This record gives sequence, structure tokens and C-alpha cells, in this order.
Amino acid sequence: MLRVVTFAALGAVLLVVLVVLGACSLGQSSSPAASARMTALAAARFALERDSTIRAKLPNGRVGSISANNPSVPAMDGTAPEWVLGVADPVSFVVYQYAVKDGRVGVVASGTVPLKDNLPLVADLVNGNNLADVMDSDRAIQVTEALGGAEYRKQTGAEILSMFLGGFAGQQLEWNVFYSKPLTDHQATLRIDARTGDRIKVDGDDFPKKTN
Amino acid sequence: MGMATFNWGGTGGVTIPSLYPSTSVPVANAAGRMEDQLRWLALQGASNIVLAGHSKGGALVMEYLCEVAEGSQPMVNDVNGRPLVVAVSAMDSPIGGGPSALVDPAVVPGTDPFLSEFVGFERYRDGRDRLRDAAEKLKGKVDIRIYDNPDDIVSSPGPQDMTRTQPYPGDNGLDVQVTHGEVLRDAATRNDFWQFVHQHEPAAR
Repeated sequence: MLRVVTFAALGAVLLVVLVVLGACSLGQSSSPAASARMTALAAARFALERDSTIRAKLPNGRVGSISANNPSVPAMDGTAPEWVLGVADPVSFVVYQYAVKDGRVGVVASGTVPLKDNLPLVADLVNGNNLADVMDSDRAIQVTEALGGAEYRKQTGAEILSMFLGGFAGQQLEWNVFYSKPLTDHQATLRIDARTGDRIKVDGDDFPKKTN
Repeated sequence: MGMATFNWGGTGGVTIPSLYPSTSVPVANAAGRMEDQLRWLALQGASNIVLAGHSKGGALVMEYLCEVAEGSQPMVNDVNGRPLVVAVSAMDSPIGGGPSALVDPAVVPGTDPFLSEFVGFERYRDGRDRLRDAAEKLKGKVDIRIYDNPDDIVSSPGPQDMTRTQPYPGDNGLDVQVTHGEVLRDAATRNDFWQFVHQHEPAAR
């Protein structure tokens, strides 16, 4: 299957995109009570339970992912300055990326997807705010560290640069933890079952053999 | 073959609603957003993705490509564990310099005010040509095609004494094909683009 993804342009040719992006910047709110660094599920609870931005726009939204990546790199304690929730609109087949940062929730990007009905969800807003029974980012890092991540960091000087919680259609939610030492060939992604912590796969040629 | 779109540029608080948001967001800040969008496509079963970006969108595509090559972003895989992105293209994109690129970045890396402030694609960093390095590292994995519109004063290379002095990608022996023509208006160039897309369909690979 081939997909072509087009990206926003500066030119006036894509005025439709301009309108969409202009609207994207409006739906934001803030709360001084939210801490600057949070774990993934803490950020999700804040966005879904205490803040009304997402629910107001997407009452039937499907939260399919939570992520933190460059430049908002997660720390070893599983906290990050910004987490992004991917929320799909099942009607329009648009996924909105909501950033949770400094007590604010706002759309930072959006894109179309061929949304599958059997996508494992972090939360299905039509059924309430309950989050899936998965480990938080702090525990996920503990697991990947025990599975060889700590040894990999020690051997290569790599660091954790991104984390992603989501799952392939028809499969389970999984945590992807990306270890890397930029400008070298030391890169590895550990995929673990987000509920049990079982290792699913390691993508990375130089990851310790005992777990690869 | 299918198609998906990606809109980007919001910053969660500092975007001016009346302006086109991506003009205010450096592409380096948006590469992670694009990774998330690619992951969402992968989760639905997509594979063999060809990224196509126009103008600043092309700069974002190339920034993402460079970050993957440098190891700042992971290579997203499809459900079968194969690399999701198989080709990238930039159209009319300011990725090699422009009218405001008054300082030769080969001499003073990273000092191009146009690219660093308006676009945010820092092609030259620490004396390296990031695009050249990315093309070399991803050779055989990700096909790269650049469409240069000679009539676009922002993206097209101009006379050496007016704009930049660096050769455009492909002009210096780099294994990146540069096609001169406007994809959006020129039928021949547009056909070339679609041929580039179709040659990456699974059956054609």
C-alpha cells in the first residue's frame, strides 16, 4: 500500500490548509495548577479530566497515542516537559495532536488517517475519561532499562530521546522507547507490551544480544 | 495507493491565529509532530510512504529526514517491521538557500538568517551539509527527489552574486535528483512527480 503525505506550504496555493491551521491555534486553555513536568498518563488525565479543550471539540474522540519526542525529551524518571495526545475524530478521520505543556492544552498539528475500528485506544471519550490499563511512562522506562536499555546506554552513551504509547490495529497498546546517541550508528527502539511489560521487539543492531 | 495530509505549525499558545502558523514555527520544532503523524499511519497498516512537501513543507520533510539520519528521531517502521518512509520529495522549498541567504553558510555554518529564523531548516551545521550526509546514510533506503522551480524567488537558486554560493543538491555529485520545473503548474514536471511516487509502490519495488 502506498501513501502520499503532503505537508503545509507557505504559498497561497494551499489556502484551505491555511484556514485549518488558523483554526488549530484557537482551542487552548491553561491551568496554573498543572506542573511543568509530568508523566504520560498524568498529562493525559489533566487533558481529559481537568481541561475541557479536547472534550469540547471532540466529544467522541479516540485517544490513540501519547508521545514525547525531540525537543521535549523524556527524562529517566518518565517525565517530560510536553506530552502530545493523538486524538482521532471518527467522523472526519482526522487525527489532532494536542500538546499538554505548562498547564496548557492546544492543537499543534493535525492530519488525515484511514482510521481503523480495531485500533487499540488509550481512551475512548464517548465512553468517558477512563484510561486504558497500561503502565505509565515512568514504569515503562524502568522496564526497558531492565530489558537492556541501561546496559545499552552504558555501552554506547545513548540516551532516551522519545517515547510513544500506541498500538497497531488489532493488536495491543505498546510503549516504544527510543534510545539513541545522535551522529552515531547507536540507535535502538524497545517495544514492550504497555500492560504487561513483556518485550515485543527490539529494533537496533547493536542492542545487547541477551534481549535482542 | 492512498493519500493523507498533514497540517502543522501550532505551538500551543504562541501562534498568532491570523497568520499562517507554520510561518512562525521552525521546522525543527515540527519534526516530532510529523513523526507522530507517521506513526498513526503505520498503526493503521500503511506502508511504503512517500513524503511530499511544498515550500516550507519541503523544508520540514528534509528536516525530518536529516533528524532520522542523525539519530535524533527514530525510523518509524510499518506493522511488518519495514521502514515506513521509502521516499521523500521537496517542491519549491528553501532548502539550499534563497534571496535572503546573504551569508555563505559554507563559510559561516548556520548563519543564514532566512533559513534559521523563517524556515528553521539548518542545512549546514558544524561544518556539515546535513542533507548530503542524510542522503549518503539513507542511500538505498530512502529515495530523494527535489523539484526546483526556477521562477520561485524564494526557493530557487539565483545568480551567485545575488544569492548563495553553494551548489544545489545534485549539482555537486550528490546522489539526489533535482528536477527543474514547477510541479503545481507544469504538466511535465507534475507527471515526473507522479512517476516518482508510483515507482515506490510495492509492486514496482
